[in-house]
Amino acid sequence: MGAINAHFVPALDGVAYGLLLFVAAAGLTLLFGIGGVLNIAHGTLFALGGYLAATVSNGSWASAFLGLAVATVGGTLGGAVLAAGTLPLADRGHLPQALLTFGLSLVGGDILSTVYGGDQHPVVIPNSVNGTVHIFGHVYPTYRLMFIVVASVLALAGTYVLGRTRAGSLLRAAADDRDMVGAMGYAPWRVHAALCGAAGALAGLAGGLGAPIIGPGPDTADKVLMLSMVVIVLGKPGSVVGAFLAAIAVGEIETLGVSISSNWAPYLLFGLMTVALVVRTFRGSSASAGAAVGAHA
Amino acid sequence: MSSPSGAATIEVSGLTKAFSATVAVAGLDLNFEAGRRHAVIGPNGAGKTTLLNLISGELRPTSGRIRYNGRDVTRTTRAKRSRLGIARTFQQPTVWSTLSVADNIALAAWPHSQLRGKWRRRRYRELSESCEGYLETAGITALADRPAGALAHGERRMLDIGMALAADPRVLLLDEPAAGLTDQGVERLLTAMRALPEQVTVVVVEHDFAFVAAVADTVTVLQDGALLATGTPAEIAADAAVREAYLGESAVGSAGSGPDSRDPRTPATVAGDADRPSYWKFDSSDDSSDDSSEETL
Amino acid sequence: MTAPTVPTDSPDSPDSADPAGSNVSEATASGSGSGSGSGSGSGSAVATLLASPRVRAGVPSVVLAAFLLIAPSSFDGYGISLLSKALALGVLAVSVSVLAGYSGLPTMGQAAPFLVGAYTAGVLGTHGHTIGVVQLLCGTLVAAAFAAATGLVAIRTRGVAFLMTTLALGELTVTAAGEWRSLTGGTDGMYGIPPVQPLPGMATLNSDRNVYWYVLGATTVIVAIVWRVLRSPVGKLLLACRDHEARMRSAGHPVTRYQWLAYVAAGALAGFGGVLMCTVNQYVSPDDGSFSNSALVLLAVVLGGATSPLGALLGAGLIVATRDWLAGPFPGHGPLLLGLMFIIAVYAFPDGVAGIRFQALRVPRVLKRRGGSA
Repeated sequence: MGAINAHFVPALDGVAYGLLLFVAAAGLTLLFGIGGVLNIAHGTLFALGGYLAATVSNGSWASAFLGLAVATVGGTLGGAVLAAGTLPLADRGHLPQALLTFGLSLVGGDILSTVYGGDQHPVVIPNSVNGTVHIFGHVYPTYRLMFIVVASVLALAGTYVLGRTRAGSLLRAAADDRDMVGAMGYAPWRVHAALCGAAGALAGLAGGLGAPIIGPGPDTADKVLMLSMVVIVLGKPGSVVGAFLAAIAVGEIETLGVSISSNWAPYLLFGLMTVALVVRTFRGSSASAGAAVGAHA
Repeated sequence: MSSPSGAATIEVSGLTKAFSATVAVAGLDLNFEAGRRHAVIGPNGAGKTTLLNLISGELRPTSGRIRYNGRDVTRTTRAKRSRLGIARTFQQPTVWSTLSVADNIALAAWPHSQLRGKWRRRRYRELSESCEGYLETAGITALADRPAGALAHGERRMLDIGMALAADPRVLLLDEPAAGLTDQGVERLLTAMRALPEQVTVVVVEHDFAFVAAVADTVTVLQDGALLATGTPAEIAADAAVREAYLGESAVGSAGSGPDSRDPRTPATVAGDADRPSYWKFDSSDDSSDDSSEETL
Repeated sequence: MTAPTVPTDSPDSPDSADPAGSNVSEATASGSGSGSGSGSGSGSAVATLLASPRVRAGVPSVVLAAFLLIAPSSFDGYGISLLSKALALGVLAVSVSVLAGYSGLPTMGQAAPFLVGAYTAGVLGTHGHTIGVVQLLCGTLVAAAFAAATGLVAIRTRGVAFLMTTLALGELTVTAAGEWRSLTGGTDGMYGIPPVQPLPGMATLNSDRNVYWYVLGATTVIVAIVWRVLRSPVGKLLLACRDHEARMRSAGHPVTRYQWLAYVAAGALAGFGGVLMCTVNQYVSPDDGSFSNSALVLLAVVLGGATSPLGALLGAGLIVATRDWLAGPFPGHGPLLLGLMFIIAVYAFPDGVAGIRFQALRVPRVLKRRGGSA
């Protein structure tokens, strides 16, 4: 019982972190699973969202919402840049696009650190959520709890859109057979631009929402990128639930894992990622005419 | 070059291959006798290429056994089966495009040659020289130094065949070798096939019945993954069930077919029509712009 | 910076984006014994000489050699040490070209064996073993062993999965280096590594200039060896695996074994580069193995042409020049310049990138998806 008590807060943190990663990784999965673009600038977009939100938000609720809006818009614009950059390379395959996004991430990262400096940039959140609450006898930051609620709502909304709306089924179809969607009359560049924009928006929003949790700082971009990649590799391709569980798992490893035994967390993370990659590929190579890592990740 | 003693039989029993919902091959029992020329024909989707893929090892069966000269090779890998003496060509000729034609043949012969240290230049040159005969049989000696990627379709097809021959196989599997060839190309192909040593067991998958009639000792007809009929080309041409499988409900036979009936040149007609020079196909078969029989992920 | 496209007798295949196009003509020359290229004699001897593919491919090498030999006399200490760093990184870039260019396995993790080699040299140095050749040998072997172990895992994947696996393995290595404080000094790095003497009895390399000549010598030797091996039938095997792995298997080749061996060789090569880097910097830290480094050398290979070891060296030089020298007037903005260079390179050098193709995992497709299965 004592062990559960001691680890309660980190465990709850893990849920918050996991939800954040879920929302963040959604953008990456979208682009990669459907657009086939490994967006290395993903972390940069997240950081951008965080910085923008931190700049605008000054403690009032209005500014907080404005900050989120600005973060989302900023992310979308970033996505637009991404779209413009990768579109001409679409027929040259995955690698040139990945390299381009890496270049963009370097440029973006430099701009961010020039504008905002090299230190952590704290976010001012409205006072009413700036305190703590009591849960099950533990003290827990209010914002994080609220975040869990908000992120869960977002996740559910996203699942609904994916599963029940026309746009959602179009997305799922595109994930299965990209060319089919083109054959259905949607101009490829429009689809590409929409995907990039949506991915950027999601990353920016996640960055804004998560700014009080993973503060925008010089390491944020790389960290979020790495963790997002681990999430999409661990999650079952094409399954929202799988991605969700993977995100929670990663979140827990990063928080609970660290509190239980601080040394093993990074090994566990990348070790699991490696195992998942090998297992996935191996399954793909046993000749099932279906998904394999390269297509869906 | 090592020459294994004599041809080999291929025997499949209870062979089944299912892909999620679809069953490509259903409980096939076939016996390809040593040293004979066998053809496998059937309408699209009959499972012919799947059968070849199963025998050569590209695919693992869902159930059933494959025996090569009595030896159970169901669990043997592709590469090992090749080294045992099973060679094949592909629907879309696959070659190593950045290497020269001569190199393609040499590399195809490499795993089957007894020379030691072929990774050394001198030994490799020996290997290459001993392969010149295969270039001749395939009629591509003039192209020896061209990068294989620069070849026209027909030349590539012959290279593919040359590569299969260079492996000095005991079983040769040919997947629609006549597809996409001009009449001249088909002539060359026929010559090459007639020149095949007696000890090689040949299994040809083809759509072109005239070609099959010219080449095969026995014909096996598949439909929907199951065996429909088997016999000599003449027997098959006369078989009512076979004709029905190909022509559906339209009139059986040649004369008196109404304006609605499909192509009136049935196997029966062609078998008796010695003057007709062309090689018609049974159905509007796969266009040669199809993706290769291997899918990139 | 790609080598000039080389005229050969045969039409260039669209797939053969090999700027060291003499690769094909030389390959066929050694393969079938036919004469090389368009050296048929007519006109003046010089014109014939210049038209020969061998000579034209050789021009960049000569220029590079001249530069490397002459430059030190006009550069200051900082410039020379930059050159040395570029050479060490260049060896790493060559190891990437072996995997990405020849074997068709673009990788984001070669900085890991690089780091292993560097730490091996560092550990040897701080424990009194300061003979350069010994450090090189040990570093290479340890890195090769490391690659042999990690390769067992990595080789099971292809394409983007391979990219991510090597990335993950790289991150694991960097983390381990940071944690293993007793051996590596942790995240602060290992500093104060004593300078080396190339061979027993030779003087210790005390100046930037001396270190440079040593690094240059070592680099030349190793790149020459690699070049010879890649031009031999071994290179053909790798290229064929890259072009169509499934066909190699169909033909009976043990593809997995070939690729594992290539991975080990590339690891050894990277380790060699790591030892050199340690010698130049006299300092090793986990950052040397970071994913940024891996990405940078992948860029170097893109710039230089996927199957050209020489191109890889030039690419590495360009990157170091941009990051550390050009960025001089713009302190702290190295990443910006590099990023711009990445972006420009991807657009401007389609051949370089085209030469690196994802060795996709091929699964036999039996059912047609589009247009019905008929």
